[in-house]
Amino acid sequence: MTAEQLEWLAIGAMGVVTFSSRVLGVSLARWIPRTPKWDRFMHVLPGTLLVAIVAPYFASGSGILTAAAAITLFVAARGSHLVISMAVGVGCVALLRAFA
Amino acid sequence: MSLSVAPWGLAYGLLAQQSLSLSQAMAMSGYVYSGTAQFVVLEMWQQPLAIGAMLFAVAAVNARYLLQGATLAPWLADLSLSRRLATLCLLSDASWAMSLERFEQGDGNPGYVFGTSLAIYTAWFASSLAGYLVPLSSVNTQAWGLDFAVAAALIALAGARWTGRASLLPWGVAGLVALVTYKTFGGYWYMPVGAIAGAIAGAWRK
Repeated sequence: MTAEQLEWLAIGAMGVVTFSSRVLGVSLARWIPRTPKWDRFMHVLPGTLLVAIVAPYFASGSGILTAAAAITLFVAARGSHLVISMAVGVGCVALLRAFA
Repeated sequence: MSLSVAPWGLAYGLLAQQSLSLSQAMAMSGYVYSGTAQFVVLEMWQQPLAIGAMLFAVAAVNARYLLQGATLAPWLADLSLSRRLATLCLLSDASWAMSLERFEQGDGNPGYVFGTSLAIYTAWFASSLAGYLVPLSSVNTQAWGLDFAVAAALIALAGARWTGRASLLPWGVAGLVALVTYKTFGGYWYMPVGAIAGAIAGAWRK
């Protein structure tokens, strides 16, 4: 299989996964365990995944990236709009590269 | 409401230029259609594709839809299968929240879910297409910090989920485990490993 076919295969599979999670919730409502522990697990999972994904940026060895990552996280956690937080992070990197 | 996703869709389109073809980027927006998952995939989109880790990541960020669907079940369970699929196929965080509020106020018309979902979907698709078509090739991405933009988007998405002190333990565990796994094994499996470790820590704490 060529690299491009693999890419489309990946996109196709991601669509199936996403579609399933959208439509199966109603059907599975009776069987999804509703224990508090399981609820908390499902609730925090998207957040912990995002944290895990970005973790290497906080220890990349580049002071500029670490500082920008920390500032972005702080701004976003304070409740700024996603696009604003993102722009702050990108702006930090640009400024620090220009002047540091 | 649907306009509020437009800047975000625009940002997605801009960033997707760096790694995806136009048709791939639009398939992600129009067919996969999950903003957070799309940014995650941009971060992971390097040859050879780590498809297993990628699918896990997509499933994990979309697991919330299962719970959202379950909360809508009392109002949708009586629909036929085909109508149920049509109602839910474009569900998004915003349309779920708006529909649930409407239902709980006593207006149980299931068509509302699809209507709000379709409006948000259209705005997302159009804005990400517009972002992709902005000519960026002449821009010095390093000097403008744009090579950090996908990471900034993901950090912004994480930060938006911060719920105060309750997040401290699961996030600390997720970050630490992810980092150790990354330094030890490389690759992409540090993402699900860190995520699950953090979520277990979050589930166990009171």
